Amino acid sequence: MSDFRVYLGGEGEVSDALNQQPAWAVEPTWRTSQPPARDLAECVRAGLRVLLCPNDDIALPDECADEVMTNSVPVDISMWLGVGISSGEIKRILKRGGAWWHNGRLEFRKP
Amino acid sequence: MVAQRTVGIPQAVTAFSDLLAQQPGRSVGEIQADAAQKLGAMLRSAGIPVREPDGRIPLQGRHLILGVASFSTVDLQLLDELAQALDGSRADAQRVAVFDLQQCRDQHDVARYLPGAFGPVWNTPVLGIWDNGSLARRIDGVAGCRQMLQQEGLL
Repeated sequence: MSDFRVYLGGEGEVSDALNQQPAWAVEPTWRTSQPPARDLAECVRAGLRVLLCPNDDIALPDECADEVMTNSVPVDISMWLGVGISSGEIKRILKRGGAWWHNGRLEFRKP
Repeated sequence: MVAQRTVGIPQAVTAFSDLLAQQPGRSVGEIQADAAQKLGAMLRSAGIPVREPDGRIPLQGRHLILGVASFSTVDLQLLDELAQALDGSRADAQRVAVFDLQQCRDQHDVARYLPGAFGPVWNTPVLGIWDNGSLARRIDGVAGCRQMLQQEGLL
């Protein structure tokens, strides 16, 4: 069975990961930041697996993820769009031994 | 005699992207919050004009406003490129102003930095281009912003 990888704030950059976005991704003017700029419906039609849930209430069970990835997103701070990713939620969904990679570097491995 | 400030990151100051470098014993959030506090002063130290909320848009010529997120490594890397390209060129530096979206509490605040029916900002960086005081174009995302800054001769 392959690893379960979750990309918080992901837009499909990692082919086999589940991409999480907050509810604002359904706004009509929202587009991916990476070219080609696509709306959410286009992302889904292109085969992306997308999980819509709040940054501080990730809709996944405890200890389900082998890896969590974040890149250039706010963590434990708020921004103009709302709350950023919660590191507590990252640690909750990681399996024991699972890793959190932030900007490509190991940030945390769950004991 | 008035001293002329040069443009570019002073040697004593680290690169913008270094603000987000991992630091032993400090969390990602602490580092990002610290970066938001330091970025404005670092821009000024580098001689890069800082966009203020409700600031006037020049009514003549082309003017660019770049909004970056101080929590984003790729945004700060683009700032590093801009600072390097502007190094010593006050004329080019006067065509562009930069601000940190983390100074905004919501989209209404963002509109005070990017006026003129700019619309919601979902991604960063974001670049607005004004011609003779009117919003002419908007670009979202690092790839598009880098390309436009290159076209404008600012990278």
